[in-house]
Amino acid sequence: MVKKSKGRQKIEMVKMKNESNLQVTFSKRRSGLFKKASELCTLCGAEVAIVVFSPGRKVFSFGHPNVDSVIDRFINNNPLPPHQHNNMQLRETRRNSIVQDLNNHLTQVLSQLETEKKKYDELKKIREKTKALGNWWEDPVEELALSQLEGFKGNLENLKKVVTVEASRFFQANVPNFYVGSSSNNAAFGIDDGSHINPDMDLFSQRRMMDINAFNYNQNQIHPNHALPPFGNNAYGINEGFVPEYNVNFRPEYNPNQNQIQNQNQVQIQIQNQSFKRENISEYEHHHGYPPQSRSDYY
Amino acid sequence: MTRKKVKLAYISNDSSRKATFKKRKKGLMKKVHELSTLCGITACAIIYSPYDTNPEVWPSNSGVQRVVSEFRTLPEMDQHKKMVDQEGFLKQRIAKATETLRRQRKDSRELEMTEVMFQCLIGNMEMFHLNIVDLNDLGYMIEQYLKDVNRRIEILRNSGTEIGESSSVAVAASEGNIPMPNLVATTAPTTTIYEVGSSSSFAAVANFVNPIDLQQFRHPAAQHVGLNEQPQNLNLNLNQNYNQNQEWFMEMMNHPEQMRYQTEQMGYQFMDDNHHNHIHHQPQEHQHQIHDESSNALDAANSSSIIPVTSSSITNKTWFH
Repeated sequence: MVKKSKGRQKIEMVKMKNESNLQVTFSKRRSGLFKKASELCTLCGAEVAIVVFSPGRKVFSFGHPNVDSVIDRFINNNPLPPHQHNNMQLRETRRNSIVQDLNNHLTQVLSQLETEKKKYDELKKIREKTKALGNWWEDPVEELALSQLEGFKGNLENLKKVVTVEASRFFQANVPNFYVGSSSNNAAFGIDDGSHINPDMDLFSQRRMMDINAFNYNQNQIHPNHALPPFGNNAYGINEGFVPEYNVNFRPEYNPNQNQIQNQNQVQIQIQNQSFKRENISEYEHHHGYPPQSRSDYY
Repeated sequence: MTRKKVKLAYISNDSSRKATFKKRKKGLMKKVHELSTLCGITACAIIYSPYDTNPEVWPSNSGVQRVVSEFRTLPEMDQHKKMVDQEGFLKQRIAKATETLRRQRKDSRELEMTEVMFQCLIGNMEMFHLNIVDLNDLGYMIEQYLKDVNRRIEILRNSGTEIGESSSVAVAASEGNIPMPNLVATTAPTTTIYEVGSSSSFAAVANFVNPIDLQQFRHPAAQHVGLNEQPQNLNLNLNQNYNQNQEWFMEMMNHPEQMRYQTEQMGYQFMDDNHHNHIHHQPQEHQHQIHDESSNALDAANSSSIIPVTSSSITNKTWFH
């Protein structure tokens, strides 16, 4: 049976001849083997030691509680596990707790990864649907002609200016003199629309209303950080756990009298978010600073 | 085939735990056997059960003795170099999965921003409620695309195109969705080209740095050492990713004069459009083109109505990351 890919097909149980394939197979299967061993320890409380010499004669080993203790027990033909002392009991209990938290965290990350992959596939479908409209500027850049590229380039530069001006609105407090330029922003808006009609005051008011909606939207994002209880003691969990519950937030009703107050809140929200991001990174670094073999607390 | 995912926790039911142990122990032994056979290597496994004082071993007692002896004769450093316990192994897996998740999120974000960029190009910017993070990412995306377009333009200009072909393609372009007046109006002045060039230089440098980091991370480093090194790579990638997007905008913010100048340019271009329209001799044809654009925009809006929900959801996640 000839198949194009190597997914889900049986292979001969003999030594592989291709050297690079052999190396890749060893790496993948060793990892899977250790994974199965780890699961067995977690589910059934077994003690395991696995020693593997790679094709390059390097040695890989996995053990629970650790390789040396299990090997010692085997060599000495000792039927009793060395857990008779109280200290050993306490250490075992704490290790189990740490392993349980690590397992929970791993399950959570893998679940999020699954969700993110589905999202990526959805976005791909949307892109396919948009491309089907037949707009030439969405073709790969290599397939466009020179004049098309130059026109496209001009439009992209215009769009970049619009994005920059829109972004500067969020920092009006930092660049107050730029607020005067909002009338020119309407001109830019007109150009991008492709129409040459001067926008009237109604259009200007609509844009201001959209900006206010954006403020409300941001305002919703910041509150859950403080309102939600901590997600366990896991530093990762605090960051990851916020995400699923975030979607239940509601948008407060728009009140024109609070326009200025919300503008001020906007600036504060930005500052808080930036500091929050830095804290996230700091926590991330701090966690990974632990050496892997350390017996110290995980938290 | 299991019908549902097994929860990774100690099985409290005694009989269920015993059955699971029996099945999984057998599977584990089988996997050691397959690995040893396929790669022609030396391996052994020792499994102690809570219910039995005698261990299960592979391949045999004497086989394990031989492998263990070989293992123990290695220098101490070599023995522990790639040794992991369950705690260390789980941490490695978490780090690996976290990096994969981060990369997947980045890919999703780029795909989303590409869609938003093309929608904005045909005048649908209002349907997305873009916040500062979205605008920052969108600006970065536009800059990347501009870099590709500029590179392609240089290639075509260097190869040289016949005048006839240019003329015919120009006609084709005018038949497209962007009418000729816009093409004329959007020709960028020299100063703007220079600015875009400088930005592209920065982006090019950033791109040059990133592949090295990814290669370093993907290199099959030593297991023990890898866990020490991976966090640094992860942090470096995170910081650089953050810095790239942030610096794009900060560069613009640090030059408010340029922003004011660009705003004036936009106004000037707008007046230029008016001037061009005044000379135009076929207003009806122009009206027809505008109508075509509106129809196309409406079609795009209908087909993309799902985007706001997706965008909001992704934005929420990106916000906390």
